[in-house]
Order: sequence, then C-alpha cells, then structure tokens
Amino acid sequence: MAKIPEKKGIKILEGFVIILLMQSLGTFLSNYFKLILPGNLTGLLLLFLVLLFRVVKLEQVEGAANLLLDNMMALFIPLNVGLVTILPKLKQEWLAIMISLLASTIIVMVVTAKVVELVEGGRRNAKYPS
Amino acid sequence: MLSTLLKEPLFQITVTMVVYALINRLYKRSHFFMFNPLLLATVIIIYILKYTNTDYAVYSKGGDMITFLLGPATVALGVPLYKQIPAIRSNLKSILAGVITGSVTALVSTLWFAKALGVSRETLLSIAAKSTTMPIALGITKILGGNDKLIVLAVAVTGIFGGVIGAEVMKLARVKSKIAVGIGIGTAAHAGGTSRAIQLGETEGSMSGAAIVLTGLTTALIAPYLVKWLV
Repeated sequence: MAKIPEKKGIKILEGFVIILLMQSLGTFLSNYFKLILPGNLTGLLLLFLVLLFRVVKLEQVEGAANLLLDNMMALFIPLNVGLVTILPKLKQEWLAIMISLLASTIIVMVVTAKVVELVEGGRRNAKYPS
Repeated sequence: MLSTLLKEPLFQITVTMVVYALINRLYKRSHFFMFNPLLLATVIIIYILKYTNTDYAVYSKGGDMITFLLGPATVALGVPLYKQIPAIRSNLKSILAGVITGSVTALVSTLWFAKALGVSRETLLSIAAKSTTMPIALGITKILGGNDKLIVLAVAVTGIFGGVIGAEVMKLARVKSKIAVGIGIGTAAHAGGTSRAIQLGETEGSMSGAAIVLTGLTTALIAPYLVKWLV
C-alpha cells in the first residue's frame, strides 16, 4: 500500500524534470534564433510537440503539470505584492486602467462571439439561424 | 533573533504559502469572488509586511524563488493544450477565427481606450496583454517592456470581470450559439471567464478552455508588431 504514493512522487519529479528540460531547450532556441516567442512559450510548444509525437507520454508529465497549474495563483502572489512599489502611479491611473480593461473585455467577448457565429452560420445555417 | 528570521527568504516563502493555502481553502468552499486567492492573499501579505516593517526588496528575495516557478508553470500549459486537441479539432474553424479576431481586438481596444484616457506609455505596455492567461501575459509584457507587476493585476482584474459579467454580456448581445459563447468568454477573459463558462454548460466550458492557451500564443505572435504600431 505504501508503494503507491511513493510512485506518484517519482512520477511528479520525473514530470518536473521533463518540463524543466523543455523550458531550457525553449529558452535556448528563443535566444539563439531570436524568436519572437519568449523562451517559456517555445518550451510550452515543445512540450506540446513531444506529447503529440508521443516522445513523452501524457501520464509522465500530467502530475507535475497539474501541480503547477492548479496552484498557479500562489506563484503570482510575490509579483502582485510588488504592486506596492508602483503605488503612486496606480493611484493616478487606476480608474483609466479599470475602465479600459472592462470596456475591452466586453468588446472582445462580443466581437469574438459574433465572428464565431458568422463562421458557424456559413457552415450550418439550419442550426444557428441569425 | 526574531528580526533576523523575518528577513530570511525562508520566512517570506512560508508566509506566502500559508496565507495562500488558507485563503484558497476559503475560496474553494465558498467560490465567492471577493475571496479570490491571489488578490486577497496579496492584500494580507502587504499588511503583514507593513506590520513587520519589511521592505519589498527583502520580501522579494524569497518571493523571487516563488516567481521562478512561473517558468515551468508556463511550459506546463502544453499539457492542457494537448488534452484539448479533440475539442479544438471539433470546431477548428470557429476557434481559430474567434481566437485570432479576439486577440487582435483585445490588443487594439485596450490600447485605444487606455490611450484615449491619457494613460502613460509604460502603463499601456503593461496592460496590452490583459486577455491572455497570466504566465503567458507575463512573458509577452517582458518582451514589450512593460511592468511585470501591473500586468499581473490587469490579467487578474480581467479574469474577474469576465467571470462576473460574461454570461450577462452574451445574453445582452444575443449570442445564441453555445460554441460562440464559450470561445468569446475564453478569448476575452482566460481562466477567470472559463470558470463561469463551465457553469453555463459543458460546450461553453470546453470551448472557453480551448481558447485560453491559443489566445496566449496568438497574442504573443502579434503583440510585438501591433504594439509598435499603436503605442
């Protein structure tokens, strides 16, 4: 019985190693070829590709990935606490920032959804009449 | 003794994690948006720092070690992207059309509104990527030359907006297709919006989720060019 959690721990460690490898390789590629994508994003694509071409199995990385993704908000706390360093600027601009964010969020939602309905409408008119 | 302990990165990391764990528990039980683990934990930690007379520079020695893990967390997004292949395939045209238009609209509208309201150049660069998921937004903002703290706030606020008003906006705009509702919410408001889309239904949730990473990647590819042109 005690063996099951032990195995899980090793899986997570192994997954973490794979993720770090992809990150390192991605960072190297982005720097070396001066890609427009930041290294971490190139790493994301590399992880996606090794999964797609079955170089790595999903269960090898799933545990570690979920651990990181499920608790991602915790990882952002220190940066967010750092807002105290730009407080004077925030006091000046917060209202303009909030209005821009809210207005843009509404516009993006509506424009995106309408475009999707247009694309769908062309494809299957019967299902989604305008 | 105590004052040296307070300056140890170990202490800063422990405090951050303990506060997060407690609030996360509260949030998971209530799902009340004011208990947002990131925002509430941030406020509490700022007060702890104030009360213990700790400078941000001291706190960030521990904080940076936590922030470092955002790199692997970004790469880990490759896993949900892989798992979403069936969902993306099932509505490939709709998702691509929505994500690409949405990414452009997000960049252009945020910058136009903020510029019209007289926001400074640095702030413009720091909120441009607000519709992408947080780790990707951070990477984009570093490349644009914006402030890493401000983009985290902007992304969090966008997620909360999207979660709170997403369903109502779609109703007011008379969007009928569940697929369109999902892609719209996911493209505009990443995971924050998606948590609401999941409550609307399975199709809305899966489409919203499928849009998140794709929107991040699309925005990363176009933002450097668009921003140069608009800012």
